[in-house]
Amino acid sequence: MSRRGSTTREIDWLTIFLYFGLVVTGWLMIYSVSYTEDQQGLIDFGRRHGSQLIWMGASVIAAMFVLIVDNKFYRTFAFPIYFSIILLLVAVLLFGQEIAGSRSWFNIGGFFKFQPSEFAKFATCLGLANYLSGYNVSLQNNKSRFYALGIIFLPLVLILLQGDAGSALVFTSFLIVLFREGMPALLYIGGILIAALSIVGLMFDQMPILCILLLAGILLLSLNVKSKKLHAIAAAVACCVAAYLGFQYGFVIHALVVSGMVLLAMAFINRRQKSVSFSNLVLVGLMLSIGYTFTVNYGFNNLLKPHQQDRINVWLQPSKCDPLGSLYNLNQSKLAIASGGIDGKGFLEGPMTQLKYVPEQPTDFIFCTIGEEHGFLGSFGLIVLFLLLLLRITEIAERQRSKFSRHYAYGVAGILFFHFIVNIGMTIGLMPIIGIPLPFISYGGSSLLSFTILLFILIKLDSSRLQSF
Amino acid sequence: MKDHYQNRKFAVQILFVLGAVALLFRTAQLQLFDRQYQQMDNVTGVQEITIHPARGLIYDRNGKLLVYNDALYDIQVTYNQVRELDTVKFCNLLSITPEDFNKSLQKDFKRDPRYSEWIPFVFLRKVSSANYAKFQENLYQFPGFFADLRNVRGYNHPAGAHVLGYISEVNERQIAASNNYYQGGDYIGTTGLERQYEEMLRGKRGKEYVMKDNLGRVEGSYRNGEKDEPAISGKDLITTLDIDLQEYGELLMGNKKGSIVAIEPSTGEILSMVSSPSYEPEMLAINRTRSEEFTKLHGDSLKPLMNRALIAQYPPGSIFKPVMSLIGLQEGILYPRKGITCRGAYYYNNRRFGCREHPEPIRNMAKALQYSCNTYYFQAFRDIIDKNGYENAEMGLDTVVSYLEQFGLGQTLGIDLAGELPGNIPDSDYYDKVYGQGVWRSPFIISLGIGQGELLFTPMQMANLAAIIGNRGFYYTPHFAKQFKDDDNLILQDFQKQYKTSIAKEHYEAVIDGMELAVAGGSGRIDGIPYCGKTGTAQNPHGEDHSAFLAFAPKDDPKIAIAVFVENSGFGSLYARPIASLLIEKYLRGDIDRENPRRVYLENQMLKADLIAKENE
Repeated sequence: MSRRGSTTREIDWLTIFLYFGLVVTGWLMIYSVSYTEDQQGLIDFGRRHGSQLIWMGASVIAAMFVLIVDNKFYRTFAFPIYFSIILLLVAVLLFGQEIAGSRSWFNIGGFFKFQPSEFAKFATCLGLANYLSGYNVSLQNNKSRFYALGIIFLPLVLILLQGDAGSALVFTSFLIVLFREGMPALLYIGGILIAALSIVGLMFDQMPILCILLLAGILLLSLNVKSKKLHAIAAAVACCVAAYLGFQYGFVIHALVVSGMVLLAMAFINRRQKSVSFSNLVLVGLMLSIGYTFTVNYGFNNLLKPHQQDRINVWLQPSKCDPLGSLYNLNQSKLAIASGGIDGKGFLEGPMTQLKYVPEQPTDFIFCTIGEEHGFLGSFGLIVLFLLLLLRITEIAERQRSKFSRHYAYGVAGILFFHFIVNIGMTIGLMPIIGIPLPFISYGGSSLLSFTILLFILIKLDSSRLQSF
Repeated sequence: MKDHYQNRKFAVQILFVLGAVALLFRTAQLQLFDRQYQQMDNVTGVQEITIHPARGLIYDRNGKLLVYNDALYDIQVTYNQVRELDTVKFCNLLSITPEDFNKSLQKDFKRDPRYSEWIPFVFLRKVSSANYAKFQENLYQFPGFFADLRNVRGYNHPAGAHVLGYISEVNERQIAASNNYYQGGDYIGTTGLERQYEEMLRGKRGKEYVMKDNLGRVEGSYRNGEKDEPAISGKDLITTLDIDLQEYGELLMGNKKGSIVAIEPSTGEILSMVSSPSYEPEMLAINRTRSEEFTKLHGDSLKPLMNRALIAQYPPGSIFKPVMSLIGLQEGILYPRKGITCRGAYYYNNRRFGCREHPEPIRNMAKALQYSCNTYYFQAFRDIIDKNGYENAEMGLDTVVSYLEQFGLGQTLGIDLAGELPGNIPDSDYYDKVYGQGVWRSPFIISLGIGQGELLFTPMQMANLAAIIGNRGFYYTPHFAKQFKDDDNLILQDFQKQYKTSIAKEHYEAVIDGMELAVAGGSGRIDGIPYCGKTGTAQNPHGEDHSAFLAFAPKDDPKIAIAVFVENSGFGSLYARPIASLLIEKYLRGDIDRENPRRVYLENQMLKADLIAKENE
């Protein structure tokens, strides 16, 4: 079934089309941001849109190079690439240049700047895919789980040490690969629950959360007790607590959602493990939750640096933030997006974009330009474009015969999804402000090049999916 | 190898879709439904800049500029744009200390809601043009700093402070009272004409909208300035003041307490209003030493900030006698040829009411006025009061009161300057309270007849009285505002309304003849200008009597009516009259007759006299 030499026919052109759609959109947005009335040249290499054009050229060349290289190369050299990048990450810690508080850049010859953490993404993706497709590797046993998580967390920790928490968090997206390959779902549910509890714990005062948990506990216990008298008492107490909450804090809906989640979790656990007494389990769960809420707050107040606390506060408790201080970026960003309305102010016509009102606009806040100048229709188009790309990648993943390719594809999907959801989410206040770029759109050479390589390795692997291994 | 977990593909895809939906949902909320954010975009990118209009200028009646606008700069700073700078140089340029510098720059941005690192605030107020010029040359070295021009007042003449008044920064109460027309830092007329005609003088604030980038740099006008509103300058006020006369009056009143009011009788225009001691208007102009000056003036025991012409209330003394004559004539009690035998006092019921020896008999009313015979007016007053019978003193007194009210006495005249006091005319109700109803009789109140007792007039009222006599029976409300430049309308209809007394014109002629005699001789004589006047000595229980003089000149078709009060200076002929005569001559001739040694000597005497030092001895 060898079809060697027919690469072009097997290339997934839809993906390439989506890729170019995003890159060109990105360039137009960067052009708009760096546009000034006095300098209107489309190609001006001294300006951002000009240098982005160079990077686009470089990316196309890199993509072609990736496609030319033999598909076996990636699997064969997956580990060497992975470990070289790990070495680079260690090296950048030792010899790198510190920019804006994080030591994550190599400065070669004074003009070429290079950020290894960008390339660690596809390297880790390769490494993880290679490991998971190995013989005797099954996520059903703890040893494999341990190694798989190790491959993910090694670069994560190194990047965290560089002081670039945003890029480090990206690596958690590989958990999607592990999920697809059979990591127990219970772990994910537990993780989501803990995350939700943390968010709620930071979002609101602790007092109402205690009340909610108490409420949930009473309801659960009363369900388990036969006595009608006790039912009535429990219901009365629950009503009182609920009323107190409603009057005092006025967020009954949130309270119900949280207690509902706790309830569901308990019910789920109870169904699985009948042997443990239901009541005991509820009590233990309650106590753990209460304790955890306090731990989260303690950790937040004592372990995080002030600027990290600020970011979380901006995300979860914007009303407590200084609108001209920590909240300023987010406010400007939301203003720019909101001012676009339904159809936007037109290309090069958005005052906030043109007046450079949003900080970091060509890089992290590029979505503002789309929102302001192209309105909801533009935002909708971009989001749908991304979603199509992500779904396409999962489809590509599932049609692979090689496990390596499938793992790799899920890795790519995970990374892109993480960037997509966090980057756009932060410009509209859904996510904390983590300085990570929007793939293919944001200004920046390392970012564009590494995402291009990441995606085109997948296209290459996919194009040769029918070849026998 | 069988893939047990193929279904998890759907979980992942659902996660992707849910994520995208969440983003879309939130974006739609921002872009389509949340009006709050959509309307705020103009606030951030576009800044409204207030343009302060030039305040109206103030001129005197002859077109001389009295009050002009002087440039003063508020240095503003945007904290987050400030970079490293040479603090020593900066401080030297603005003549401030490094401590001031730090205090003015380091605000409590976290807690103090008035300050933000992003929004410009005032770093240093009231920098003079001279200082600013030096600073401006070096401004490029101090990013974040810029200057805001404010128009403040400058004065060409060191006189007329009480009339012109001053401006000061608005306070919270004034802002609230103006329905927030004013903004913090605005100037508002606080006293004098600046206050009276504030609404005309201040003009209309303009607005300019500029687009600024994220560093606060101006990028250009917003929508080509279509929303901008130009500032409209305040209207220039032409006053009725004669600044030369005003300055001369203030000069003559130097080192004396008292006041002068001069009015053009035919129009009610106030030619000058002196209150002494005074201050130079420049002292309270907006600048950095102003508050010290103000504190000094405020604490001065001689009360230079008090406008004596409007709020000092003196017993009129003998200058009341022409009024009494007029009332007597109108009531038929007196007639021009009526004489009296004065024995140096008026006796009633074994009580003696003092007069003085006269050089010739009081053969008629003119003589009574000339020699200011108390006996004559005690008698006349009693006759008027007792006209309806001795028992009916109330009726008599109320008749007198109603006449006095026609002269604008005992009430505020309604001039265009705040702070006027009404003076005092005691009526029958008052004496009913003091003595009991039906108890008091004409002898009780006899001293009113010679302008003593409870009678109190302000210098403004006395000058108006002189104008009424000069006009032979009418007056216009005295006022300072002649018109606004380039505006043909007179300021207020109120000042065109003629008030008439019910006293026949011929009675005035009789009184005027007497007043002419009264000033015919003596130190206040002006060769070639026949004028009419009356001296008075207002009794002062606290010390030396006040010297008072009331006059108008020339006798026929008078151009100036004047009242002069000099506190604690004894007889009216000693100071008040000579000063009035000098002012009359100055006004009618442009200057006193320098060829006439008597006049020059008199002027010297008046200038030299230091009654304040004398009082303090």
